[in-house]
Amino acid sequence: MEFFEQPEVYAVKHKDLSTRMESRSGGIFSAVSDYVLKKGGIVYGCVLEKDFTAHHFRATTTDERNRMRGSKYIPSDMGDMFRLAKQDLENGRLVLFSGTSCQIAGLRSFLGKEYDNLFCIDIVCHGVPSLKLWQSYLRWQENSHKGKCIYVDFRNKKDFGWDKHIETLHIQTPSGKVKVVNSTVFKTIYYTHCALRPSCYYCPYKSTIHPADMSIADYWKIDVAAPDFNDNKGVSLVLLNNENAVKMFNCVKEVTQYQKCRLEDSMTLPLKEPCKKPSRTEQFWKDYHSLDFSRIASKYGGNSVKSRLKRFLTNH
Amino acid sequence: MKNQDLRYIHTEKSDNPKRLPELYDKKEHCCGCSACYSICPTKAIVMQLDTDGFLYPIVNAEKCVRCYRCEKVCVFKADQKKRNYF
Ligand SMILES: Cc1cc2nc3c(=O)[nH]c(=O)nc-3n(C[C@H](O)[C@H](O)[C@H](O)COP(=O)(O)OP(=O)(O)OC[C@H]3O[C@@H](n4cnc5c(N)ncnc54)[C@H](O)[C@@H]3O)c2cc1C
Ligand code: SF4
Ligand code: SF4
Ligand code: SF4
Repeated sequence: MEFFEQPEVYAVKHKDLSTRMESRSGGIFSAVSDYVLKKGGIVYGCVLEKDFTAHHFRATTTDERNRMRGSKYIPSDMGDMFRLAKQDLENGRLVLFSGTSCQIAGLRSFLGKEYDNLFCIDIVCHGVPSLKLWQSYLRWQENSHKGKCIYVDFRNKKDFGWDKHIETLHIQTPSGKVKVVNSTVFKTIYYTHCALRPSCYYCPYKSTIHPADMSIADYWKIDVAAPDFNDNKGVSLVLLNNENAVKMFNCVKEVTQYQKCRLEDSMTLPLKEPCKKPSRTEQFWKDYHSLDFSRIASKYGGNSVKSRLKRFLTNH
Repeated sequence: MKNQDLRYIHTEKSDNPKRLPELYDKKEHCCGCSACYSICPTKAIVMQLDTDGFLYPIVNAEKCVRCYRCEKVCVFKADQKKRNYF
C-alpha cells in the first residue's frame, strides 16, 4: 500500500451526540469501528480493567467495543493480541486494529506482510506515563479519601468540556458512600513529561507521516482550521494516510459531520517532533522512588499548600 | 544487577555458544510494543515491568534457540535510525 506524501485532513464530529460524549474527541473511532462490526469484523483496542490497568482487547460486539472509548493515559499491555489478530486475518476476518503509532508499527512488522482485510488506526500520542506512577497516585487518592476507587475517567469531558483536563475518580468508603473526586494531580505530573516512557522522547512517529492507514487526534487547532465547527464537545482531527483510509472514510462519513481542512492549519507538537526530555527527569525518578507520594503530588503535581490555597481563593 | 537492567534470565542454564539476542541497548530504544515477544517461536520472551513501571522484554536464555527473529522484527529501532535518534 502506497502512503501519501502528506495526509488528507478532516475535522470530524459524530452526528450522534451521546457517542461523541463517550469518546475522547469527535468519535471517529466509533464511526469506523461500528462499520467494521456491522460487516462482521473484529475490533482491537485498549480497555481499562477493573484494577485500573489498561490492556489491549479483542471485541466482536458493540458493548465490548464501547470499553475502548476514551483515552487511558497509561500504557496498554498488548498481551497476545498481535498473535490473535494474525489468526483473525489468516481466517479472512475483517480486522480493525487501533493503538499508539509504535504499537501499529510493531503489529505491521510482526505480520510481515500486507493484508487486504486489515485496517489500522493510530492515535497521535505525545507519550505514555508510567503505570506504577498511576498506581501510586490511585493509592494516594484512596488513602486520602479513606476508601476504594470504583470508577475512573482520565479526562472528564461530560462535566468539564472537551478542552479541560480533569480526572474524575469515584471512591467508595467502607460505609458505602461514594465520593466524587475531581483532580488535576495525575494530569499535571503527566504534563511535566518527566514520567514518560524513555522511548517517547525519541519517538520516530512524531511527524505527519504515520504507520497506520488513519491517524486520529484531538483537533486542538480547530478554531484556526475550521472556525464555527467547535462546540467544546469534541472534534476529531482525522488524517487519511493512504487510499485505504480514503475508502474507509467514504464508507463512514455519512454518520459524521465533517469538513476538509488544511494540514498547515492543524499542526501541534506531536505532529512535528517528540517531547523534549525535561532536565529534571532524573531527579523526578529519584524522588519518586524515595519520597512519599504526597511529596510527589506537591512537587510535581501542583498540589502544594501554596497552589491549593490559591485555588481555594479563586473558587470562593 | 538491578532489576531495572534485567535483560536475560536463566543464562546459567544455557550452554548454547551462540550469542543471545540484543533487543535494546538503552531504554529509549524500546517502546514496549511486544512484537519481539509475539514472534518468538519458543516463547522465550516475557514482557515485564521495570522499576519505573514500563514493560520491557526479557529473554529466557534456556528457552532461546538463537533464531534472532526478535531482533529482526524490532521496527522501532529501525525507524529511530531513519530519523537519526539512534
Ligand atoms: C496516551 C495518550 C496520549 C495522547 N496524546 C495526545 C496528544 O498529544 N494530542 C492529541 O491530539 N491527542 C492525544 N491523545 C488523544 C487521541 O488523539 C484520542 O484518542 C483520539 O482523538 C481518539 O478520539 P475519538 O473521539 O475518535 O475516540 P475514542 O473512542 O475516545 O478513542 C479511543 C481509541 O483510543 C485507543 N486508546 C485509548 N487509550 C489507549 C492507550 N493507552 N493506548 C493505546 N490506545 C489507546 C483505543 O484503542 C481506541 O482506538 C492521546 C491519547 C492517549 C491514549
Ligand atoms: S510517543 Fe511514540 S513511543 Fe511513545 S507511546 Fe506514543 S507512539 Fe509509542
Ligand atoms: S520489538 Fe523492539 S521495541 Fe518492541 S518490545 Fe521488542 S525490543 Fe521493544
Ligand atoms: S532469538 Fe529466537 S528464540 Fe531467542 S528470544 Fe529471539 S525469537 Fe525467541
